[in-house]
Amino acid sequence: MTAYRISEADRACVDEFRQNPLGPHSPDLLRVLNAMRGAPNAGKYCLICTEPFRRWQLARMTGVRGLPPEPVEGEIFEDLAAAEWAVFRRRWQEMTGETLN
Amino acid sequence: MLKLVGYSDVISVASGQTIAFKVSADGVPQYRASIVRLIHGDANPAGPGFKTAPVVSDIEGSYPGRFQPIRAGSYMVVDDHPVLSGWQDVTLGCLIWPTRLDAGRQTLVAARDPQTGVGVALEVDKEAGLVLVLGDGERVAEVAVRRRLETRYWTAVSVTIDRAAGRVRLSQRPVQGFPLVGQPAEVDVPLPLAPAIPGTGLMVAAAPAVDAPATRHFDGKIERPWIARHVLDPAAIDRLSQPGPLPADLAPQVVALWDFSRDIPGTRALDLGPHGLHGRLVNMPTRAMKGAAWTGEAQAWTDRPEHYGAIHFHSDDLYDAGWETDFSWTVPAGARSGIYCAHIRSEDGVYEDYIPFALRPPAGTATAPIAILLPTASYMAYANDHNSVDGQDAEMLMGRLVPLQAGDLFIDRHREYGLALYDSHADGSGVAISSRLRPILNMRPKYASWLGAMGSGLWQFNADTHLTDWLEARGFAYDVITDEDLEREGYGLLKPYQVVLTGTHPEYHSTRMWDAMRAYLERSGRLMYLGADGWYWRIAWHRDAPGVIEVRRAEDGIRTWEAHPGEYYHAFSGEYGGLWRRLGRPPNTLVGQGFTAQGFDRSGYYVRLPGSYDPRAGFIFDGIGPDERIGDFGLVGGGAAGLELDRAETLLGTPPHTLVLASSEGHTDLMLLVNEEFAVTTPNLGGSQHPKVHGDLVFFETASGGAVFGVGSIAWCGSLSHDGYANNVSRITENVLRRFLDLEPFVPPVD
Repeated sequence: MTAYRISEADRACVDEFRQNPLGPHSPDLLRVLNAMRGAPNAGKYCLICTEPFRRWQLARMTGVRGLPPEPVEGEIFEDLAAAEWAVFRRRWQEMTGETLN
Repeated sequence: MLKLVGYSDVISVASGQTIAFKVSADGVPQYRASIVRLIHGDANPAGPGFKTAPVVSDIEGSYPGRFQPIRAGSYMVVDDHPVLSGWQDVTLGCLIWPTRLDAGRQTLVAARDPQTGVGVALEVDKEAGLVLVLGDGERVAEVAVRRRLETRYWTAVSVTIDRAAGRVRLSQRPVQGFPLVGQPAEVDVPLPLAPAIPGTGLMVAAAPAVDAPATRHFDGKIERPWIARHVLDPAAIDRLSQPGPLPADLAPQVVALWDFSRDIPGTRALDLGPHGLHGRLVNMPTRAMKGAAWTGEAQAWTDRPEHYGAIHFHSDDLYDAGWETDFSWTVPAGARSGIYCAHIRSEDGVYEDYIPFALRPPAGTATAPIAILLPTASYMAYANDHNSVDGQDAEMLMGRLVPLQAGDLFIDRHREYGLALYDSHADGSGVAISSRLRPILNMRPKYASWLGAMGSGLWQFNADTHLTDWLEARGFAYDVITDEDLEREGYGLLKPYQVVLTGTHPEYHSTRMWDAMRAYLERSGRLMYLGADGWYWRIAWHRDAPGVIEVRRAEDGIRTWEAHPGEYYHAFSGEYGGLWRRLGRPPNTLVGQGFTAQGFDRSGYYVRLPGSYDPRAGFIFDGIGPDERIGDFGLVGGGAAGLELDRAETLLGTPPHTLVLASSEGHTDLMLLVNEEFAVTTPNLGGSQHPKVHGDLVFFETASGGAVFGVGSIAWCGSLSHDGYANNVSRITENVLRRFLDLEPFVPPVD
């Protein structure tokens, strides 16, 4: 298994993402993001656009053709950067066990 | 969720011609329809906003909604014939290469009345192997080989019903066997019931259904199905499975033998038997597929058609949705050319759809000196692309969360709406065929694509309305013509125009389309190539069936699936497929540049190069300062240089006198060199490091007094409207367009 595994050393990238969720990002942060974004589609976060250019509902893909993404209750965003940071925190917690504030 | 969707029978229409619209309304009892001219389909509030112009038409009014289903899945059907019923003894067989046995029971051959269950159906089951289902109207019985079938290996299957002996025999014989798996197997058991043959015709790769044209679709390849009204011995069965003509001594016993290697470009399966029971292929399965006899000595089906006797059927193939027409519009004389839509909306305004089409001038005429060649073949290539939910890489490529629109969610749920040339079928094989005879929900105004970068997110069709909006804002009269018109009419379509403008992403071209553009440029034509990744893939249009294209993703190039070795030649045309670059016609030879990099996060800008100060380019940069960043703004990724970039390259045929006017910079490491640009992987393929990751603005004159201007970026047109259309991208585009409209011939430089 040579896929990149997020470790304590990547903690230094968190602030970069928090301050600039939409990039561009440093190579170190990009490596962390690729590990997050390249995961299989089952359970992968995505956004459902509920009002064009204004509002997005966070959802998780099923990874099964024809089975629609499942909305994450209460996670509605009016700012794409805020959505990115929210998902980064969720993934960080899921992949490292650590909760980011 | 969408409740109102539609499509049209043609993609372009001229005065005096009629376009028919087909609508499905899911729980919408009544809807209103009107015709609009589409000016700007981008609803981004940061830009000029959504714009249409009303069109008075006789279709305007209220229509009753009705649900119209789509039945995907390809198969072969043979109409009933006296020799197809009243069988006593029968032997039938074929070669199969199953691809999706996990999906459950699938039908190979069926002669069965779905109402009564009378008849026989030969099916496959992953564990039970070959299964014969028999029905006499009262009872249904099954006989199974009970030997596991292997996926993606050839197996010869046959069944023999011997009424006199009261026996049924099933045989499942791998063409290539392996230890432990894939061993030959057969059963020979008493006939559980004497099936009647219903006289409902015959189906291959699906079974007739009560409430649909077909059901129990087979995924995989089938080769050479045949039927004999006799009990045949194993040696005769084996001989009928071999490629080539029908053996003369067996001919009297054979009812039909369908040789899929005959007339591969067509939609019929030719019967070599005495009754001419040719099959109709429904929903365009993939032909020119390697059969069991393929050895590798031939790579082209045209050289050894007998090696390509297989058809790959898919349960999610779709050619023509086949909906009934709800309303038609006969275009009145003198109608203005443009991009038009039939706008349908529910009475309460909650649901709507826009069905786009081109209103073109009558053939052989022009109503403006400028034509936009709408890249409708490329729209078809991306039609109903599912990569936002099916592809694992979408979020990495975009550098942000995948945003799903209502249309994306609809086609995810409704797989029967068909696939794009970027999708894979449910069995994992690549989609080589795409049609426009179905609602295409990503070819819509207001649609934003996952591929379209931050900002407006436009891609293909809707992105091209940035150009129509700019032409209207700047007061230029223009005609709209389409790829399909170019395929039909060739150079004659382009001939009347002083200037031809491309769309933002004219990626897919047939040989005839390519030749037509070459002819235009050789005869003083002026081309403004306002996009990138153009003239990239070769396609073929179908010989007989309208509105459908095929691609064979041979060799390399940016692609989401690969054609299998030995399957690089189009079934539709017999031509070798792949990148025009690999066919010896790089786009550089036509338009001075070619695809070099792609990235879907944000866009860069251009800086001027010495070429821009050459007196030959003086008209282009009139009013542009020497240190101006060009296009450091825009609705597509925030800059004019983005999504996909083209680069000038003399080694690939960029004419030596081409002026490279400016090059782009400011790209992130998500903007990556395309794979045909490197033979060895290196760690510097991203936009912050690799010198070839940039787009070029190019200009060159042709020997006939014409000229080409290319922008080298898909994002260019997204910057045209910035600051009330008063910006340097708009200025450069207008400078070029005005000079190209001037009849004064261009003169190439001399030593």
